[in-house]
Amino acid sequence: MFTIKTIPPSSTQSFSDDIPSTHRKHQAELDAMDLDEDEFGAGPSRRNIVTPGEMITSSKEYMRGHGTYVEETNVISSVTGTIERVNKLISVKPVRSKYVPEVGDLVIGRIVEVGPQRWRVDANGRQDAVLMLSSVNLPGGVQRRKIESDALKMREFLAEGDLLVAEVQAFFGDGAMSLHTRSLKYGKLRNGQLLTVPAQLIRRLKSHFHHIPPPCGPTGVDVILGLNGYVWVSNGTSQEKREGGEGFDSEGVYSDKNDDIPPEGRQAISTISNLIKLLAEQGIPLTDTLIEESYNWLNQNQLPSGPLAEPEKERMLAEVVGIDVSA
Amino acid sequence: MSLPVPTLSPSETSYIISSLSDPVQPTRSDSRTLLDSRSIDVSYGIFPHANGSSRVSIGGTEVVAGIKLEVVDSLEQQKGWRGKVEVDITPQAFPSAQPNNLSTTSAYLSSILQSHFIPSIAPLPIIPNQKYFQPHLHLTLISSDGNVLSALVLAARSAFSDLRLPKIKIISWVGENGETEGEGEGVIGKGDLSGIKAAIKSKSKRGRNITKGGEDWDLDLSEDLVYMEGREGLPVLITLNLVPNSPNIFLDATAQEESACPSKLHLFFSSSLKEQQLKICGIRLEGGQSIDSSRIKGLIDEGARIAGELIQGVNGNLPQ
Repeated sequence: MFTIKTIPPSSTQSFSDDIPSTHRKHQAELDAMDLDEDEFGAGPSRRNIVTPGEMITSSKEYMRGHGTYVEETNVISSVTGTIERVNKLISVKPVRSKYVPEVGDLVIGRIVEVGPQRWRVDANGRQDAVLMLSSVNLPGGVQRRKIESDALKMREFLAEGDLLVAEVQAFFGDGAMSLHTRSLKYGKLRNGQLLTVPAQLIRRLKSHFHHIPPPCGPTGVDVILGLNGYVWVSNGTSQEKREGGEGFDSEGVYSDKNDDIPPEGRQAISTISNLIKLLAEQGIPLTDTLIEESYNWLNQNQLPSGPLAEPEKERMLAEVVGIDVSA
Repeated sequence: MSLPVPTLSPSETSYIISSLSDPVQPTRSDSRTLLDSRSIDVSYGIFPHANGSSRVSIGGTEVVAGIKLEVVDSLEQQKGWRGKVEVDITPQAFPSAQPNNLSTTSAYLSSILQSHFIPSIAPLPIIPNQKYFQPHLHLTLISSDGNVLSALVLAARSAFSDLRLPKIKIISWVGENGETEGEGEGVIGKGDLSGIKAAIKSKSKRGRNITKGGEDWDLDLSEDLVYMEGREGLPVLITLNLVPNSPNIFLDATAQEESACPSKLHLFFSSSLKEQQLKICGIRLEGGQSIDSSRIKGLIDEGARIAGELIQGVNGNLPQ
């Protein structure tokens, strides 16, 4: 019932001199180090991952971009991250940062405020996003015109706390993103649970709606990877419903009621959530194939449903992802 | 008054409640069973200059605790030696909460610990009935992911388990003062001691005046520090979370689960070494839900069983 571990105080806590070398290197990091010996990183490491204060190159030949500053005649990194170069412009993409939105990104957000003709949405970015009443589909079909009474009952469609999946449509002058849900794929979320992972682990893919087929739960499990780091794991639906085809239930778009999900389905959702959390903990970029492969690995090894024990986590990461975390 | 919880959409709330209340096969968001706890990590002695300290994390909830001993004058009955608790909630544990909201919450949590945890700690005398060590416990909540109060109590318990008391040597003198006042050069008479008269108690013994020097004390540095006596019996907290409209209960709620199921029963248990028996030292019901009186007995018995396991688990790893 209880697993209690006693951990010795870490080096920063106990102020001891012997710092254990627990530094692990991700495969991508190892690759990156061999890569760029010719290019940048005039600092001690000479690689394209830089730390704050590390000299990148001379400012006489290159221009400074985001994440850098000029001191004397050198371009110096102001953040930890990877060097990116566009012609003469040098910038550093931070390893950890808030989600930086781009037009066309698929995001998951939560309504924080209902305002005049618009909703304010928390989308894990620097500022709250805005969803205009004019950029949503209301029940009654795509072609339906919005009338004044719709503006008065906005809370019936989306109220504070509701989760929705949307696309970034444009930016306002102050950099806040404007969202839209004018596709049958987008809208309110139900039948599942939300996870939060670091935004940089979600790559821009062709599709962010993934379906893990049975035997993962009776109807499979749907995963929506929002680019802002919010991940929605829900009970699997049929092909038509996912694509918004004929069987699409346009009246149910704004429903708050969950379907009846059998315990096996909920267990599958929890299992997939655990896998995603485990991968994200280790800083592994998430893709649908990776999630599916880890699920298959669980299936093949006939592990009991429940949280993975430490040795099994390590084994899975070693066998599926190929990284060694046993250090 | 209670801790800030994340906002959930109605469908998330109903998903969590229906998962937890399933009569046959309840499930949880991280596929634990209802009475499973997340793994508990405890570190002792994290602050080098504290008399006792600990860091406890339960899942994403992390608490650090430190104890500083102060010397106070008190009589045994006056209870002036009783410890003080301060709970500090860092704003980064609840980024979206209002600062004044957090300060009322931390006062609330401090009062819970003050009334249910501190009374179980025996006095730490230097000179009995005169001077005592008074433990000042400072708890800091670094991050929160549900089950905060349990983590606070466990951190407090671990810090007291790590508390090391210095050995004390008592310095006193007993002198004869039979002669009349002011007689003889070089003999310390009463007059010379006027400055420390307050510290001197004169009492008559067999007709003669015996002056007893004010008992003073010093740290006995020749001996090692000793752990507090009875640290195995310090209280633990078991929080039983109640699922609305269902007889199910669950342990160690995550923040989302707390948001969906706000009602919970806090049960504080302390144990005595001799009898190996658990004693309830506090019950609190939080959240709007009421409990049917017929259920209470069963819940307390269940809580006691779980507390026994927790105490056994924690006591197995005490610092030596």
